[in-house]
Amino acid sequence: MRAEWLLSGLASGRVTTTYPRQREQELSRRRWNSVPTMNGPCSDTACRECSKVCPTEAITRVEAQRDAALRLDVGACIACGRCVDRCPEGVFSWAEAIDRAEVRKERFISTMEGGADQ
Amino acid sequence: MMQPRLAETLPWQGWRMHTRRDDVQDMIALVAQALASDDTELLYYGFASGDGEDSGAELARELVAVTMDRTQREVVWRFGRCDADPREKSPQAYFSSPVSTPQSGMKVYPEKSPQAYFSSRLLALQSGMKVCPEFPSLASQYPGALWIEREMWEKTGYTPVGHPDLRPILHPEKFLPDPVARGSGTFHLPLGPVRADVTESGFFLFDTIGEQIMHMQPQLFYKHRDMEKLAVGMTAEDALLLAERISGTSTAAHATAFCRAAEQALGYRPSLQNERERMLFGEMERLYNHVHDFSQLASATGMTVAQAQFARAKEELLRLNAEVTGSRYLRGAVRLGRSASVDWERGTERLTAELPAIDRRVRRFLRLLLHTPTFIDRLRPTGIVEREWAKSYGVVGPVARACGLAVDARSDCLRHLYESTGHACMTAEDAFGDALSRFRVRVREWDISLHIVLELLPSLGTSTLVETELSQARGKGIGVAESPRGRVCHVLFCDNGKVVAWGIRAASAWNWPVFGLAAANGNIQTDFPIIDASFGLSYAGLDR
Repeated sequence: MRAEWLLSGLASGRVTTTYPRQREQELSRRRWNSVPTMNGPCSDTACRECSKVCPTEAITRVEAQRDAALRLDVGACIACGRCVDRCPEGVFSWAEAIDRAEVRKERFISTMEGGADQ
Repeated sequence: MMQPRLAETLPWQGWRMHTRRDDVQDMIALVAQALASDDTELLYYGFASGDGEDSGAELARELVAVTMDRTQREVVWRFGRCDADPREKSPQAYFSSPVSTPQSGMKVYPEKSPQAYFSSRLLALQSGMKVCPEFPSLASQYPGALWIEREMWEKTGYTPVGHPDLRPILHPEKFLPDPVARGSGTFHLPLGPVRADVTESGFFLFDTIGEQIMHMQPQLFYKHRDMEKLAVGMTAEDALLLAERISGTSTAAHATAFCRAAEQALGYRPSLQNERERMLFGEMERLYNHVHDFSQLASATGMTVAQAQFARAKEELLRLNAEVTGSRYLRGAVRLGRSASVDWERGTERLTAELPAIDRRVRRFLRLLLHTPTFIDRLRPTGIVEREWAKSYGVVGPVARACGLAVDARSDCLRHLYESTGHACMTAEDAFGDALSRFRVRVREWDISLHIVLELLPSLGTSTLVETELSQARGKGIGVAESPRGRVCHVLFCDNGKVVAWGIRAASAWNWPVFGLAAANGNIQTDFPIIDASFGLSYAGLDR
């Protein structure tokens, strides 16, 4: 019995995989829920679909700034994917990186206005 | 591969649903009477935990018990109203029930000495606290309700009269269990709430004599999130996200049970495709959970090669989950009233390509384990759950099946869905109720689950994304699913399309109370990790 365990342990060899830093490196599936990212500015100033469907209020419209300004707090996101599925403008998509770390919580917040990501 | 011949049926099709409203005394008596039969099981018991306005406030005083009779194929909802203020009946009632102030959240518990008890009552009366109503305890006749009634009592202040063990359960930071064994040679060993590994928080108080465990009391609810209340006022679709997060390792089961309840409450007609997908996700979940349990058990018995191999298989299964659904823990896969956004052509291809290889490896190491005397010796008489306990505590899942009880939601209330997938309820042959029986049940279930997955896959070729409209805005629903740990049940009350009250009974809620008994009787301290691993309980499932 002991020999069998020894052999079976040795026979399976060493299994290592690279850490999947990029989504498609390890998993071929395109839609792998990580966190969303904003591709560009939103041109529809009246649409509030994204902030309406977001269950954790991670997406908000910044009214004080320019009309189309969008604010995305990845720290509050639960990766449900509703914004990716439902935005009629296609502003949101899954981020390439599968994980993200920041030193300060505020850095998870990004805003998008007039075409520039700040 | 054989084409599946799935019956064209949906959950609860062919079942009768009854709703009965009785006086609370009669209601408890009727439930206890029904539970005395072998074929009846308690699906849900508790207050409808909503405190919203309108119907929510009405429901908050309503005691709900849902029982299922599997031979008659009927589900009975029993409601009992608890609004009689004992003060109206007799002034004596001031001194026979606990006092609480639901507004401030502060509660006064009866003290042990009569003087302290009396003065606390007087104090409460002077400060205008309200005397809470009572209801007869079901736990005095059905031990499965012990923890549930303690929780109900603490949350609402309503007293279960005749409860044999009425102690606070929800606030471990204030009340911890007291040791019960006294005398020379006894030793009290507290363990937790901070535990090794990634185990969730739980506190265990061991009363020991030498190596023997005389008594063990688990204390949970360290991470009580009160999810049932969080969902009040949400739309069913948003509450589904909460349901998925009740317990990470039973995501698909909770989401399925919730969706089935919500669909019944809101009048959605799920398509057969939806149900097939949910069944498939449920089995994929069972596969990775069971292989995790094998790994934990191998680790507890020092079988390092097996532990590493099963851990590897689990990781492969998790990655497979991610490839198919987009989430390692199957989040977002089960959707309300519509099918999953999964490319089934590709999913089928991946699953049929990868699963057989994983299966071969898992089987090989399972066979090796079952032929290793040191492993079998550690499991054989360890952590015995007597058949009688399992029955009276309403134990579910592999723990119940290891005692020879055929308790499996897939074969009792969901049989019409599962019967053509080749599912069979796997009870242990020896029905010894120990760690080895539980291990063997899981081994046999691994085969069955794999078979169901491969059987279901060809029927999922076409993905329909047709959303069905809800047909009613108000109603109640009950949803049942078999998680890897046993039956998960959700009760949902909706009004205006929003959640008014929600009740969750995870598998672990039924199994935790019996865990202390299994750990104590005749076991030694070093058996504890094995008993723990063989039960495979979820802390979050009970805490919710």
